[in-house]
Amino acid sequence: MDTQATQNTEAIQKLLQALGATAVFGAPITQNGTTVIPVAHVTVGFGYGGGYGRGGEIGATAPDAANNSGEGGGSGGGAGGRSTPCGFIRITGDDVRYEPIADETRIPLAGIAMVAWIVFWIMATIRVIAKGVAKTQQMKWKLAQAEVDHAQHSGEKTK
Amino acid sequence: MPQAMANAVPAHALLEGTPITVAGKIVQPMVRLQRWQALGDAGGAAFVRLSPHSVRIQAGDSTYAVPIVDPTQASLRKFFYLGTAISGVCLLLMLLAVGLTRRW
Repeated sequence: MDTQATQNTEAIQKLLQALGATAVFGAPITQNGTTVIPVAHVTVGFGYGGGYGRGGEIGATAPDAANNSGEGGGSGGGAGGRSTPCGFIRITGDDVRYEPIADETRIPLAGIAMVAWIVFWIMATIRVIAKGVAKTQQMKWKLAQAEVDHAQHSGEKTK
Repeated sequence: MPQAMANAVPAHALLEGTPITVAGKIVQPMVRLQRWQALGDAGGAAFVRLSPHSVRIQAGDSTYAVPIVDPTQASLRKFFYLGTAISGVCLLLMLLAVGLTRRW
């Protein structure tokens, strides 16, 4: 089990070290005097795990002990990767420039989410401020009412 | 897994790619590497992200770099900063309003 795990780790280490600039920059393509090198973002992730158990039930009687000797095992793993093109390098004569590719889906989606986020926070702020103002007005009104009552009481007493 | 987590290795590096000759120029790609790994006997996980950084061009005696800027990432980052700033300001206003109401 340990040897296998070490082999797995070594394979993964090799894979991680193999990922380099060649994964991001593609092979140059030349046509009509213009060379284009594609560029991409690369993301790779994976995980693995394993387990093993042993041991029978505590207090098992002699005839059952053979059946309840206990055993275990299990392992699993998963991996995923993504390469997203983000632009290309154009080399024409002496001119070398990077031409980006804007993601026309993510930017509007992020914009919509941002507008919703801003509206949510502004509405929440307005609600809290309005509640505070209403509470203050209510307390002012109560104070004024109390003053009027007090004045009326003191007027009745002097009469 | 706890052992693996204890061995977690984050790494950030700038990798130099193999130079290629294109139209009399030596083009060397530069890549930004972000890596996180936690590998152990019982389990492990790793995450690698490679993004283009720049291209170093050597033409004759002169050497210069062409930076690679991703407009999508830049826009998303701006949105993120704007959202964080607005929520921060709104939170401050709310705290101020609550504080003033309590003081009154």
